[in-house]
Amino acid sequence: MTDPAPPAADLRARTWAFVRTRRRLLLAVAATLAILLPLGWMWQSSRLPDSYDVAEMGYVDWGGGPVDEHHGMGHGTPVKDLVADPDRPADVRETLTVRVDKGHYTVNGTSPGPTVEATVGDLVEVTLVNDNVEDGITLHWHGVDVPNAEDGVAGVTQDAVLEGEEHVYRFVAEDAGTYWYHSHQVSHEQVRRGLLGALVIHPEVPDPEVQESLAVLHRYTDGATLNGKQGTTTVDAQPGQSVRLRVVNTDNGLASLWVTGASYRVLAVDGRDVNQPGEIDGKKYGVPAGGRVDLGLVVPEGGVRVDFGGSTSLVVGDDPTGGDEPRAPKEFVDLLTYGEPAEIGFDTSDPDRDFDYRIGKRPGFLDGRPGMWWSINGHLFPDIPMYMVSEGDVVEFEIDNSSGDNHPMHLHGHHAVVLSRDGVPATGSPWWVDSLEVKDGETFKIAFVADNPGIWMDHCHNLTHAAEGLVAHLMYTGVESSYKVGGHSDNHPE
Amino acid sequence: MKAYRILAFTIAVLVVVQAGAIAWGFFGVSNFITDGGVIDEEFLDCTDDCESIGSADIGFAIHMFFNGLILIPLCSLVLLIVSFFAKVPKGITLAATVFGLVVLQVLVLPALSREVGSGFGALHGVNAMVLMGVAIMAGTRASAVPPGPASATT
Repeated sequence: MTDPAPPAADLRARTWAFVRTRRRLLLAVAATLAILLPLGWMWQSSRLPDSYDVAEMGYVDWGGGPVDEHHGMGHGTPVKDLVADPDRPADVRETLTVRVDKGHYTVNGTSPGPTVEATVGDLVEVTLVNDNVEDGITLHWHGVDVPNAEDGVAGVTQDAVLEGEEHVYRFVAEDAGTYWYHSHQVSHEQVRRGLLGALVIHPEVPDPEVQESLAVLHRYTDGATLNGKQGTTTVDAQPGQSVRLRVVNTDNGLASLWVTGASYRVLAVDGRDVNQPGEIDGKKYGVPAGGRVDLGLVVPEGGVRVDFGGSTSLVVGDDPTGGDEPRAPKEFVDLLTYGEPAEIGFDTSDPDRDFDYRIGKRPGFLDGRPGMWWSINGHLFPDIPMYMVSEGDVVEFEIDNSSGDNHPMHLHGHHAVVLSRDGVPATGSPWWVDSLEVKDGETFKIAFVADNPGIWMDHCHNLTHAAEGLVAHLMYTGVESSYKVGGHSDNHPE
Repeated sequence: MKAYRILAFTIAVLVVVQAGAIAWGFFGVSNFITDGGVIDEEFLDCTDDCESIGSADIGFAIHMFFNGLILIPLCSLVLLIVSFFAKVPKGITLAATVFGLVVLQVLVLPALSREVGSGFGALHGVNAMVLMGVAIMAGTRASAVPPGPASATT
């Protein structure tokens, strides 16, 4: 009866006594760990390595299509081999030299840089020279569906062109239209500070009756400009003259424009003609960030004036307002119903891949920094979907934005056609885009044919948002990466 | 105990700083517009080398970043952790309430103001007062506890 307790039982009793006396402290420690461990794990897993292959990033999304694990490094055609015919001589040759002085970028001494002009079918060869930009530079041909290796995305389709180096871009100008070029290395800084210019691809047989005019919109530190000039720019034209006005929005937000003195037509959007565009009166037009629009105007007796966001304007002929700033109409032109339907050339009823691109905003860590960040399908960069396609696939994307902000979504290397917005089908002209304004609360369905193998960024062209993680990419099966983000060239595409 | 008290009162003071900072910012906006400035999406999204509304920019930076997004959430999280160790009567409940009100203030109400209606912005202002009140209550509770041997550990 008086046997001493065996040692094991004694230990247990002492442990319990310890737990009882320190219960409060232990609970406090447990509660603290319950808060800090998940936070620490989230912080750690958000950290980006110094150098990474975008094809090995995030998680793979097959969009309900066939699964083919052969992609990424060591599987298929390297990105660097996806080029235009190397034996074909160039029809258009340009050298673009970039300098930076006190944080302002110039191309051949000006910003916007010189307009590169070509005719459909030309092989365009541009030599980019980096005079003195320490961070390195690239040129992305925004809206031109170039071969992948010519797309100009640092760390994805090439290494950044470092100080004193040069790089040659070669591509065939296949589609007439208005485009632009800009850096895709540290782009949220370099584009804003002026590393950009227009690219115009003329049709084989230009209409001699039509006068061409270009409006490159860009906001520098000291305000909004049109072709580099603040305020009102005047172009000479006789009454009765037809004018094609090519507008390029190189900024991060939507640019509204409105026309005073005449009606107008939307001839082309993002380098694709609108089918049977009707006359527009009393409505403004919104050009998404990165987007382009070609307007058709006939100069009336009193002249015509186009206002851009209340900051700059273009007067063709006389100023019909006498200098008073005209008010913007309330309503926007809606491309969902504008123009007349036409064949789009492929069947969208049963797509091979069906992807979601749901944009949200949530608290978390981005590369270790706490904050409110953009999410894609609920995930934060870099843990985001990589959209996998195979050549020839019909691909459908549902882009849904509930992030509290608007996002001009830009898909590289392809033009997509808008199928519907908020469930309402498109009934106008085929609405082809490479830069689509997706407003907060909107849902778009778009479709395209995967006809340009490579690795293609699909990101927000509010470049600040891209730098905050709103950047995904489309990846072809049978393609392997040739470059890495980070690395020896310090590639930073955003 | 001391850490709890200091943190609780600090949060109350930081809420006052928030009120001052946002008023500074909006008076700056008003001056900027009066002087011919244009504020649009492009302006709001600019983060690098931007046109500026002047010193009132600092007001927005404090309200929407340094104080509002970093300092106050951090203080309320640390207060919650400290509350597990400090023996303040109802201390954990009050700290958890402060934390909950901060989540409401920083995440929920701004989201509702954007997506449902800007009227929720009014609740953002009211909730700030409630948050300050609860933080003061927590700080006062901690002050009322007589210093004992246990408080030495906190």
